Amino acid sequence: MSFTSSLTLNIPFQLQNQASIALKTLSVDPILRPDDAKVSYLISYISNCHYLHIDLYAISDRVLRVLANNIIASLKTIVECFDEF
Amino acid sequence: MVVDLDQHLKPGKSSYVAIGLEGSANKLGVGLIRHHPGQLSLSNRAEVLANIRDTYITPPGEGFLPRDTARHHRNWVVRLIKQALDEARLGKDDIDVICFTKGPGMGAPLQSVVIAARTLSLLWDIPLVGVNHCIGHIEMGREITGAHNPVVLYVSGGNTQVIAYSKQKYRIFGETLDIAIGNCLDRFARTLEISNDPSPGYNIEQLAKKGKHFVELPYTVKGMDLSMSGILAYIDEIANTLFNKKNAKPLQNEEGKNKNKKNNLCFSLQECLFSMLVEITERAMAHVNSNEVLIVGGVGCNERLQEMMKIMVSDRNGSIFATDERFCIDNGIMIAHAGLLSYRMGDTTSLEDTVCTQQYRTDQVLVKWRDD
Amino acid sequence: MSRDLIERKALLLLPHIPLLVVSQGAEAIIFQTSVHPYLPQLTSSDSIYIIKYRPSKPYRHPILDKQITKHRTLNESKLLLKLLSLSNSNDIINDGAVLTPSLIATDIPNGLIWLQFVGHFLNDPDGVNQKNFNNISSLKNYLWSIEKKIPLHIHSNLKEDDIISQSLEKSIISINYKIKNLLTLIGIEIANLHIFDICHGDLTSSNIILQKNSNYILKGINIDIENDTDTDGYLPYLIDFGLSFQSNLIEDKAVDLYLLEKAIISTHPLFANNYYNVWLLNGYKTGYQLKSKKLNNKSYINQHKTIIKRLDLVRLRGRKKSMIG
Repeated sequence: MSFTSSLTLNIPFQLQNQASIALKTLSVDPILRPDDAKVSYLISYISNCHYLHIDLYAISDRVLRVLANNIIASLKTIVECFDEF
Repeated sequence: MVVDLDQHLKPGKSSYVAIGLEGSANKLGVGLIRHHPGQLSLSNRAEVLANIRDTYITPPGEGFLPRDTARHHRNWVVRLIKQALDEARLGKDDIDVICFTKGPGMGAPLQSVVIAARTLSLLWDIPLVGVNHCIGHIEMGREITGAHNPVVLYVSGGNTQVIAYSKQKYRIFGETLDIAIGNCLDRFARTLEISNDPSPGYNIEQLAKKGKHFVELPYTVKGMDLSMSGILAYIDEIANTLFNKKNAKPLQNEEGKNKNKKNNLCFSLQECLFSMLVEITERAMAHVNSNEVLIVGGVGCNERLQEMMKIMVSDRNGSIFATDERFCIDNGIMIAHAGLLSYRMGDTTSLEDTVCTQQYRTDQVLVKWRDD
Repeated sequence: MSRDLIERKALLLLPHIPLLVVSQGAEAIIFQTSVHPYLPQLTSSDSIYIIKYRPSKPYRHPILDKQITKHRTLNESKLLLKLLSLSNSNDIINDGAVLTPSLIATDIPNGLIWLQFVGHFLNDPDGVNQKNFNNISSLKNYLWSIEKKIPLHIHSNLKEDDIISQSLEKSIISINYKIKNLLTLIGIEIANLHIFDICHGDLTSSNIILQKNSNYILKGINIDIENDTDTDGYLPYLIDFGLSFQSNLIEDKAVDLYLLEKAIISTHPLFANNYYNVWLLNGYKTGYQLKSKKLNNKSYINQHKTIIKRLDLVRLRGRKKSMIG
């Protein structure tokens, strides 16, 4: 199955450990249907910012959208934790 | 032989504190609990430092869907955690372990809560413990009521089980062969378009109290188990015919006649379902020669169920234990408590193992903290 | 209703009958009497009869209560009679029989059943024989009495699903082959019940009573066991047909087996999975094989296969049941 739809999210974080916590937290959950989609994570440091790059690949736009929504929703919680604690 | 619960007490600390996060269904709960060293007993009780809950309530006639429930949990989880810490007057340095519901339950809601758990665990550098939801109910019930080795009736929206402890496992003696009792009651509430605030089961209970006439319903106990989908289908059919749903007559019609019919149906359904529960509980008691019953789970709040169980248990010269709505209904403190017991036995959950599972049987958990 | 009240009610229903309470189960209270309901008393007999009384349950709504009492009593009576007539001149288990206590009389609206007494009283752990129904020779009590003999230190080290080494096994359960034969025989009996298209509905080790019968021999069966004639002198009788029903559905028979499996696992956790349930299911298979041989009809073998396949599914259903909240 070829992944025709793709999307990259670049999430900036102030601190390095924030980016790595986000990565560790998100990457634990497996994709429900590995034939339909794939995710990969990478951290980089670009112009004073720690980025978490999330590459999403899916067999269709719909699957991609659902996956992206889930990840962004989880990120919301993660960022809220950083803000609050 | 007494289990040593204190091999993992942090040096310099005089007690254990755990935070518990619960979100397997539509209730989001956060609890903070403290254990003092030594065996838990009547003179050494667990201390509830905070126990907050927010319930996702849907309009009448609707059930709650996983995606919306997950969204609700995500909106509230960080707020509730902060509120719980404030209430307990504690900070991150006071906490030993973060406990969360690993399962069973609905996938999306469970996952939305575990994200917060993982993040905080990494942020604060403290371990995680995944907890079985049913074990949470059982252990909290035992702790609050002091029941030592009861037959446990666990009844909620998603579970209906009769459980007895034996050799480090909570074994399931009887259970539902199809749907859970809370689910059955909730779905009937939807048929009758009863409000979901504070919960459909509570509202059915109030209507049932006013019911007088008993409608005969199928009675489906099968050995130590029971089946409820047939009864639901039967009573749904009666309701649909009585209220002419097909003609779209408004049910909110406060005509005396309709109200009485609703009351009688709720009354009859409760009498039938609860009789079945009491019967299978009694069978389990006879089978394991036990004299104590502990009721846990959301449906355990129902006063009629407690009353019926009490009558049966007194007949056998036994004792009945039940908790109030703080602990009956899904909550975070029970997760904190059960998780802390695991933690004190040296168990933690590594990050890779924190994936939530919708199916997680009560008898899969090794109850290390008991050795009777 | 306390036990006293129940007894008093029963005495009202059974005037002039001396009654001795022997056990109070979940559903019914069992009395013992030496008086036959309608035959004249024989002075030389020391007969015992059992009266099973289903009292009304105070926690139930009265209409529901009457409905249940009547249904259960009627059901049990009908099925006991049916099994008696089916097994008729044939009371050999490996010839297709199902052994049950004889039905003597019944009073359906009041929930009373008179039955023949089966079983005997096992010695309690101290070797004393108190005629106490807690020691009745049910399969459960019998197995427990043997399991208790295992030295404590071995017992506490055993975890479930350990396969006990053969030599250890022989030394700690000196009559283990008798248990194997007994459970095999029970398996055959349950197969016979299902071949009659009857499902018990509540198969547990408490609902199988062992009757001493030293003349019994397991004849002509190719079972791969050491000494296939010895079931420790016991014949298994099935009791408690309150939840039984007639059905030819594979699903119902598979669920019936599943209930027994579960019950054995909960009451005898150390030996259920690797020993007791294995032997029971082997016996169940043998029962169908015997019938097939007797009637020269292979369809029974197929029936058995289908039931066991369904049993696998039912087991999985239990494991994978979605549990929410």
